[in-house]
Amino acid sequence: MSFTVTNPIGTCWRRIALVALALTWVTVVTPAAQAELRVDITRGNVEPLPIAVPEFFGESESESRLGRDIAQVVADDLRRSGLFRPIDKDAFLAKRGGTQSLQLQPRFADWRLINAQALVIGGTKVLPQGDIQVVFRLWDVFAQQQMVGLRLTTTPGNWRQIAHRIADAIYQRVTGEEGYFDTRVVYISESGPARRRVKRLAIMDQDGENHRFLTDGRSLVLTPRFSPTAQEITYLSYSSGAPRVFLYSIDTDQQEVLGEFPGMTFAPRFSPDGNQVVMSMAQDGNSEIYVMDLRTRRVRQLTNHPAIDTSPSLSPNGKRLTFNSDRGGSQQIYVLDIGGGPPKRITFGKGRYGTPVWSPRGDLIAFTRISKGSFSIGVMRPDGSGERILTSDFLVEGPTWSPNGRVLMFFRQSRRTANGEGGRPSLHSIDLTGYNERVIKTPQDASDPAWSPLKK
Amino acid sequence: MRNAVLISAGLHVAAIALTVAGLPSLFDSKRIEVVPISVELVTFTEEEKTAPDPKPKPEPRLDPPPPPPATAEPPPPEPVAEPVPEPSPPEPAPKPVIEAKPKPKPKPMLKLLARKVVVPQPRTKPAPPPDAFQKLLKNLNQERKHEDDERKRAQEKAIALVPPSPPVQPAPRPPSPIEQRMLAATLSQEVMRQVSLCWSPPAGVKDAHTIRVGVRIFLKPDGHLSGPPQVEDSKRMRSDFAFRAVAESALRALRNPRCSPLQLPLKSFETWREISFNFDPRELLR
Repeated sequence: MSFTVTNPIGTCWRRIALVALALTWVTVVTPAAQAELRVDITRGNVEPLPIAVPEFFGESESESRLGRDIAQVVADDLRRSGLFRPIDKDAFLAKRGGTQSLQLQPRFADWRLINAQALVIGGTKVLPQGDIQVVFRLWDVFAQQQMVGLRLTTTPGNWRQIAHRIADAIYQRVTGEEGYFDTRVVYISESGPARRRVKRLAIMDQDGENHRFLTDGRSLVLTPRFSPTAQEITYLSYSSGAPRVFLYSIDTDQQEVLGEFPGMTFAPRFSPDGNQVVMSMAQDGNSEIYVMDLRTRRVRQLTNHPAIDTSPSLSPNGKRLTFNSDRGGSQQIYVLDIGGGPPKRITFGKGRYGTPVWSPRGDLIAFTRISKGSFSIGVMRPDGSGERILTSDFLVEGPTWSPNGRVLMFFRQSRRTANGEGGRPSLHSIDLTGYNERVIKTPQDASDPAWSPLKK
Repeated sequence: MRNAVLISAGLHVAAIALTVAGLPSLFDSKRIEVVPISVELVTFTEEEKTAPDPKPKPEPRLDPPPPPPATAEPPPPEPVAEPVPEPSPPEPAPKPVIEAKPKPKPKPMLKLLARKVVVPQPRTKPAPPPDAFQKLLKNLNQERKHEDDERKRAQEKAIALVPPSPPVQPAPRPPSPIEQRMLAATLSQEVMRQVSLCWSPPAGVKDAHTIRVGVRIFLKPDGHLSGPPQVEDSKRMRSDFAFRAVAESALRALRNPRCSPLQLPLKSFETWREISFNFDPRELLR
């Protein structure tokens, strides 16, 4: 045997070659046959999520009624957001929506049949001491898993707030963003003939409920703004003849003058931390922007230019300021670094731009554009890119952000027709995508809304 | 005398030459003992069937959801109007299928892993008793020698047949890589068409341009999911709520009865049994 030395080496090389061939087969050919299929999904249909909100279960008559009311408020909140589509109760297969018990898993097949993708099951209970307790669970119908579950306890008179909080929890869990249903809106309520218009400060829940007036209408009030951190409002009042900035505490119904400033004071707005107010003051025909520390009452000037600088709004981190100015020849929006440096113009489109409002989310600035005799409200990124017009009319003004930076509220006034119709201002909300514009019902004409932060 | 010395020297040289020639075969025989390890992968499957496999069997069919969401009791409800996390009470299973015995949650994951591991993994095999192992090795060696002989014979035949005639191609050849790629592209388009109908990403989500969600699914021949879809970046799923919202919209699309089961040709099942999706909402959520 083996009478030459080359034979084993040759065998060895052959083996190596065979192994190499096998490896090539495994790495090149086999994957082609067995690798997973790769699919890019870049298209879809942006539609509201079908959600079933059956009446919350209650044992007694009063608990059942409460459960019905709460479920209705939750469904209404979600519907108004434009991101959910509550399914009509008549379509429910199970009696009373299958709310017999929170302890059991829902019969998901029944809910899939009516195309529900999310399901809210809840129950109410009146506690021995008179408080009410509400329990709910949000289910993912396809995954058959609970997404969120909460138990809330409150006094009976507060049931609407409980319902808003449940809607907020559902909204947050599904969209990934904080809700905005447990909030209020302060605005200017208007009544009377055009020449003797009575303007009062009014407040209501974001859905129009719990409406009340804060001032009696004897003096003109303008530009109410909510503190982003407390239930406080700044507004401009002519109660002493000259315009002054007032601070109003909603919880205590007390108000105070922020300070005596020389000249005219306009457009006050809270800083994101609620500790400062930015405003513009006009002296000798020149308007500049100032910031006031609410604790020390010290005032600091932020702009210095012969042109008119007004409508200031701070970024969420408080480091940048946006305002409008005509320093470039026409009214445009600028962004200023509070730390220093010259303001940078960010609007270059046709027309004039004003009332910039920085989104609480920080990613967008809302603005008003006046072009060819009509007004538009739009959004753009803080560097001026991505400008999008959301709505236009004879007059649309006063954009205010929901606390989650998702929805804008504003007032709209259409042109009065020859037969006297239209021309009355009303509040509207619109999603930042430009869809889902809705009218906010108010007892009288309404303008200049300001959205509150979430209630604590 | 001198001749004797020369003869002696010649014999010595011959002896050394023989030794040198003989040694490699010794080493060679050693190497031959080592080589079978690489061949193990091919032949073990049959052997494996004979060995009792106590571990992976008890995996139930599929019913992951039975256990009710048992969450820990949160802080007690405050007397004021403050929300309290819901303590999910134990949920008696409404369906008769559900076992009372608590099953470990990660079952579906295990099942998925098991599928992936189907490719022979020596470590996962149960260790047979030592003599069985020896027998196995012997069998292997014999089988290997037998295969070597056969291969040699086949090679010799092939060499004999080599004359410059056109190569004989067997009819049932697997599709070429190009064909595979074309098939994959066609299937990919079809899957995209079907799934796009059911995908509704959350509009207006913050920083949508930075979000892309990878989801992997495994399918049965009838187009149904054979397990829950897996989001590839599970870490971001827990920490980034905007990402989670988009990812969950993708999962809903894949589970939506309007789009599941996927309608795909059975004959190419091997190509679509595993699909890796990339959900990209940039165009939709400008």
